[in-house]
Amino acid sequence: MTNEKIILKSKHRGIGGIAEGEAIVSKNALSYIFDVGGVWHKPINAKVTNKIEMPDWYGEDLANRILVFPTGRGGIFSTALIMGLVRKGLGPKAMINIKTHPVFAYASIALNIPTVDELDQNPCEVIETGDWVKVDGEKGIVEVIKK
Amino acid sequence: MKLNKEEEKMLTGAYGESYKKAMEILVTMGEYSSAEKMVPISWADLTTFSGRWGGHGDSPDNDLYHYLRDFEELCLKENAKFKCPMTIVDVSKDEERNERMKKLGAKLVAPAGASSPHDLFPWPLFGQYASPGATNGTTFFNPILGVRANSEGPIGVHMAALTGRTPEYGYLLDENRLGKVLVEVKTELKNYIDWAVLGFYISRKLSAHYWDIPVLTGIDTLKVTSDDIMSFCASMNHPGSMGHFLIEGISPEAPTIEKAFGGKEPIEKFVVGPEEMKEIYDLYAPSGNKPDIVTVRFPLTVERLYEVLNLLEGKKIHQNVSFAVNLTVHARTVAERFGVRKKLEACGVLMGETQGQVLWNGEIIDPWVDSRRVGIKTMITDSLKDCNGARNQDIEVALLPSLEKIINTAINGKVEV
Repeated sequence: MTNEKIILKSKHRGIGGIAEGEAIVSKNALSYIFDVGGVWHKPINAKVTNKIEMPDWYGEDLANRILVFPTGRGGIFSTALIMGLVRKGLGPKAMINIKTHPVFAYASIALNIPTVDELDQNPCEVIETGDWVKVDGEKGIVEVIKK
Repeated sequence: MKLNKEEEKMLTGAYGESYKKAMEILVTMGEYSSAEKMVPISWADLTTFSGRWGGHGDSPDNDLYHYLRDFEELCLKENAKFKCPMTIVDVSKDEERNERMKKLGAKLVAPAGASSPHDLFPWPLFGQYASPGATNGTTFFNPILGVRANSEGPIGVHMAALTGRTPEYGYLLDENRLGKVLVEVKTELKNYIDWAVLGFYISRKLSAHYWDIPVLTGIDTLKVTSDDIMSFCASMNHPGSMGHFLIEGISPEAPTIEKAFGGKEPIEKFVVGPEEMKEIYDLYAPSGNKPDIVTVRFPLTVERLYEVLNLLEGKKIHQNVSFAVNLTVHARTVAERFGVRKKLEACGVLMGETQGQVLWNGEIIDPWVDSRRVGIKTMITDSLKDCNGARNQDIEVALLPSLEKIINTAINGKVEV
């Protein structure tokens, strides 16, 4: 445990309130519609099922975790999937991106999911899986405590 | 963000809760995206997917559907109207929603259709701002028509349509429309499936930084068809999320490489040749298992409708295979008016009414949702989206490189490996 603390600041406001927890980090862009398990209109769980496009998260359960990934990808239906999972209590606790895809951003706005992007350092490089992070969606600040 | 007086009035509730809510969401999105102001949009589209017969994210038992329904009902209660032309491609056949949307001022322009721009009308024009509902629409409008649009999904579309405004960010800004990555295409593109594979490769490579606009060079611009481009657009949005790209000599904003890059040097360069194309084909190569279903899922245009007829006429689809095709609205009209539908059905072709649908043992199904339930184990397709979309069903989905090979597979009941 190093407990080194790093503060990342966005160049603009964030979305949602405050959330904290252990981060899970991917180098790949995430699509809820193509990568996350369950049936489209009735999401069953938040497990990553796409081995080809999301090899580093394959098999991981994304429910109630702080997701750090570059951006979203592919398909407007990710909004619907995120919303369906949130109602089941299986949505992301917070999202930290290099740049948030608008489809994800609108889901975060509708559901008040703490979400930040365009930080002063690349979050996918600074944050490692297992680091403790506190996301302030209102101010656009991420506090990282290294594991 | 700097708002004008009209936008301020909407935001402060002078026109009611519906406009207030819409403007609050748009302002949040604008501030989140460092937008400095709102811009007027000339057109919005909602392509309603799969509604009552189950399926994609927009169905009645989905939370997004409820969120939008509540918003639409709030608008109706306050007698609010969409401030910009709003069209609906009615894939879902959800009459309740259609009625709500019509009362809000939307126009149903296509009785069925696809998320590709074949059935999206009227198209906005060069330089206009728009809010397309279908992802593929955005990827067609930005690079091919020079329309300025972001891919935002149904919430953004609703709020923009009601207020007639959208925050000026992303592809709406001049600086974000310039090329950043040079892609040298050094392979022969034989048909629309090759174009889809090219798009898939580029989109996959740039998926973690989709905002770096690729500029394609090396394309024989005299040979490209609109089908090729639409197929390419569909793949550019999947597996990545390329809402904009430029093709030298085709995109209005890329008459030359220099103009495409705004006189700057590319930040990255790569080549797509036969090896790169093979890499994608290999990802989804058939294993040799006997197919249960063979589909042409990228919607058949009139041109390809006749190609299918030429390849099939006088032959029969194998008894153990379902061969299902989707048609554009225009192609369906032509097929019915000129007897092509009857001829194809006599060969055993099953025609879905709209995107996503496949007829299977007399039932309309969506392979992305229903394959496991109905017992489909192997599917052969022309669509890379199918290859990923049906993944959650734990079935084999394989891509073939030409319409001819797809139809031969349907006729022979087995796939050549």
